[in-house]
Parts: sequence; C-alpha cells; structure tokens
Amino acid sequence: MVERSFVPLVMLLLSTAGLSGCATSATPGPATLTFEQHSLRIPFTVDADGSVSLAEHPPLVGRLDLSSILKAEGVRPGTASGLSVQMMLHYGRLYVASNAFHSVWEITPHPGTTSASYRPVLLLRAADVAPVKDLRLSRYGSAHASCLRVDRAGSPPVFINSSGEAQDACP
Amino acid sequence: MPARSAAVAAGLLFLAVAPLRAAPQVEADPHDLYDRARAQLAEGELEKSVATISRLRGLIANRPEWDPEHDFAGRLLPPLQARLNRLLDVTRKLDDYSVRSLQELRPPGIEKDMSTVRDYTDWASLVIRRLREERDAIVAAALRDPEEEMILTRTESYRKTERLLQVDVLQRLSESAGDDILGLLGGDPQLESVLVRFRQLKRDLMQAVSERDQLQKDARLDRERTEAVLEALLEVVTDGAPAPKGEPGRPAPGVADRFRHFLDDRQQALARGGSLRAVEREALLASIDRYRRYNRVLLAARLGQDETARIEALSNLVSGLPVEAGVPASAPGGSGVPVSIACGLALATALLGWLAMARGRRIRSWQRSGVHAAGIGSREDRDVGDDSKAA
Repeated sequence: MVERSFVPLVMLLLSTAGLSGCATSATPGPATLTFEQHSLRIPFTVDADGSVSLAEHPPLVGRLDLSSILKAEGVRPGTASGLSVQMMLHYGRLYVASNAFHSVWEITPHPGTTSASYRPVLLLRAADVAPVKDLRLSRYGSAHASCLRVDRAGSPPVFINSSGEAQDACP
Repeated sequence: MPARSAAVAAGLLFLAVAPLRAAPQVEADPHDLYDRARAQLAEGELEKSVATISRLRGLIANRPEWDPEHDFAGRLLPPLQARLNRLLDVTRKLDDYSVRSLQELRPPGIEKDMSTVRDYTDWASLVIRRLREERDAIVAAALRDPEEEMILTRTESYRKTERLLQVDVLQRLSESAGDDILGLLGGDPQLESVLVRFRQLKRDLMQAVSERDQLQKDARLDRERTEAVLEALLEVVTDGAPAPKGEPGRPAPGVADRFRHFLDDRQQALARGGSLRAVEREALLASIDRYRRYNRVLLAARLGQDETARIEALSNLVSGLPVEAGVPASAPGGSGVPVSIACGLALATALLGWLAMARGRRIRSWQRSGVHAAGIGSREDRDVGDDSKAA
C-alpha cells in the first residue's frame, strides 16, 4: 500500500529528473542577433605601394593592401598609383572592382586579425579583351535577400548573392 | 560615280559606328542620382537638385529593388530634401526682397532734398547699408548652418541681391539724378567757383604746353649749333687730321677722344722717325705749345680730360730726337700756320662761351617754367580744398 502510494511520487521525480536531464544535456549555441553589413559604393584611389587608405572616406579608417590582387590582375608594381577602384560592403564581405580589372574580387575579413582571404568572384573580361567601361557596383533586391549588382556598359547586369555566387538575376 | 562611292562609304561608316553609339549605357542608379543631387545642391543649383531628387524618388518608387532597405527613401533623402527646402525658402524670400527693394527705391529729388554731391552719395551709402542689413537678417533668420549659408551665396537669388546692392541701387541713382548733377555743376553758385577754377587750370595747362614746345625747339637749335662748333673745334685741335673710322652701331668719338688719339698718333709717328731738321723741330715744338693751349681750352670748356701728360711726353720725345746739322734753325713763314690756328681756336672759344651762356639762360628759363607748373598744382590742391569746404 505504501509502495503504491509512492508510485506517483517516484514517477514525478523520474519525470522531473528526466526533464531536467534533457535540459542540461542540450549544448547552448552562441547568442545571435541580426546584423546586416552593407555600404554604399565607395571610390578609392590606390597608393603607390598598392594599398588604399580607408580613411579616405571617414568614418572608415585603416588600410587595405591590394598588392596581391593587383599582381594577379597583371598590374606592374609601382604603376598602380592613382588607379581608381570602387568598393562595396555586402553581407560582411568587401567587393573590389575597377575598369582596369579583369574580375570583381571578393575579400572576406578574418575577424580578430589583420588578414583577409580573397578570390575573384566574377570574370569581367578575358585577358585579351579591352577594359570594360562604366563598371559600377550597386545594391539591388529585396530587404533581406539583396544582391550586389554589377553593371558595365554593353553587358547585362550580373548579381552576386549573399553567398558570394554570381547569378543572372537576383532572387 | 565618285558620289555613289562616297555614299556607300558613308553608309558603311554609319553601320560601323552605329553599334558603338547604340551600346547601352549604364543607367543611373540611386547612388548616382543621390551624389548628383548633393553636388548640384552644393553648387547652389537648387532647381537642378530638385529635378534630380525627383528623378531619384521616381526610380525607387517604380523599382523598389534599387532601394532594398529604403536607405535612400527613408534615411538619405530626407535630410537632403530638408536642406534643399530650407534653401529654396530663403531664395524665395530673397527674390521677394530684391523685387520689393527695387520697387521701393526712389532716390530723392536732388534739387529739393540735396544740396551737395556728398549728401547724395551719403544717402546712397545709407540705403545700401540698410538693404544689406535687411538681406542678412533674412538669411540669418532662415539658416543656422554656416555650410548652408555658404551654399546660399552660390545661388542665383543671392547673386541677384549682390547685384542689387552693388549695381542696381547706384544705377537707379544715376538714372534719376544724372542730369540733375550736371545741372548742379552748371547752376549752383557754390560750385560755380569750381568751374571757374577748372577753366583757369585748363588755360594754364595749355600755356605750359606751348612754352614747353618752344623750349624744345630752342634746345634743338642750340644742339645743332653746338655740334657745328664742336666740329670746327675738332678740325682745329687735330690739325685737320681725318677722323678715325668708328665701329658700326657705336657713336662717333667726341672732341676729347679725337684729341687724345691725335696726340697718340703724333707720338707714334715721331717715335718711328729718325733725326729731324732744325726747322721741323721748331715747328713741332710750336705745335706742342698749341696743344698745351688746346688742352687748357678743352679743360675750361669741360670737353675733355687733362692731356698734359701726353703733351709733355710728346715734347720730351721731340726734344730727344737728333737734329741734322747745317740746317737753319728757323724757316720763314714757319709761324704762319700756328698763328692762324690760334686765331681759329680763340674764335671757337668765344663761340663756345656764347653758347654756354645762351644754354644757361634757357636752362634757367626752363626751371622757372617747372616752378610755375608746380605752383599751378599747389594752387589746384588749395582750390579744391577750399571748394570742398564751401560745399
């Protein structure tokens, strides 16, 4: 009788222990919040050493070394001084383009360091083709799924989505 | 046939160029339009900025994909539009102010309200100062930002107010009072003395110019006479020796230089020669005495340097030359030439003295003329001061 009277209590304890066990065994993920990093189109001028000074457009400060990209573009060292480039921050990545470039480059910062990875994300022209004209980066699309729009004279626009993939249309 | 070829070539050229011209241009995006509107606003081109902002609003309204987060519509355009509206409001007020100020600008009748030109210009200065203060008050009441005030100064409305203050007021003044001022000079008894003084100064000036012309003519005659006398003197002191050929482009040597060269030539000629006859020696010594007198005359007339050293060297040279024996010491008529030359020299000296006196008289006369002109100037200053006091 006594054993029967304890059954509900044991069940309650077991269920409570089980629930508490479930609660403590689930690993809590990092707290997140909404953070959209974009910018308008920012023009920069390349310095003699192949870098651009972000302080050219406050409140941005710092430097971005484009030497590796310039080398990949076939720009001889020392001849890039005064070259105009445009940059745009889109979903936390920086995109760099210029009429003199063959590609649009994507630069992904490494938070907490002074380095970033980079890659060509869109081929604008082949090696033996004349430079493009009126190259322009814009932001295009809907509020939570915008694209980086790449326009140039004589060609249809190309859209780079939030994952860094080039597409013919912005979803 | 050539025309047909040309037409075909033109057609081919058009076909070749047309695709290039027809290459689609990149349409302006909101950022382009936004930058353009800001630049136009900064340059004071408010109407163009209004049109560009309108175009931007139309673009993002018809194609909201160009403004995903409503950054342009909700955050960037409102402050730009607000600044533009403030500036447009001020320019409208300034336009009204310019029109009203010109309409209300009625210069007073000069014969009734004004007695002097100074009073009239004081009135103009007062009006301009009042209008400027009114204009600045309009701007200060509407704009707080110094940058916006700077932009306003680039607008056409503000430039119109500047024209009003710098040109229009004075132009209105001259239009209404120009004839009155002329009449004032002709009829005001207080200013009549100014006209009298102007006429007198004009007469004095004409007289001074006439005297100056006459003096210039006299000076030219004196110069010609002096040159003639100097030429004659030159013939005398150099015993008629031909003048050395001067270098092209350089002035001919003067009396002093010719005399010096003449002495050097004589010395060189004697140094080359051997013995002398006695008569030649006497003639040379007599000539050297003449050279001494020439030298004194030239020095007295300030026509040359002292050539005593050369003359004495020449004398020593002559004295040192051997004399041939058996020749009479003096030749008849040997002193005839020196006497005639001495007479010529005396005549030339007298003529030079007369010329110097005449020149001195003319220089004094000229100086008196200059003093007279300075007196006119000082009298003018005094008269103007007196007239201004009278006015």
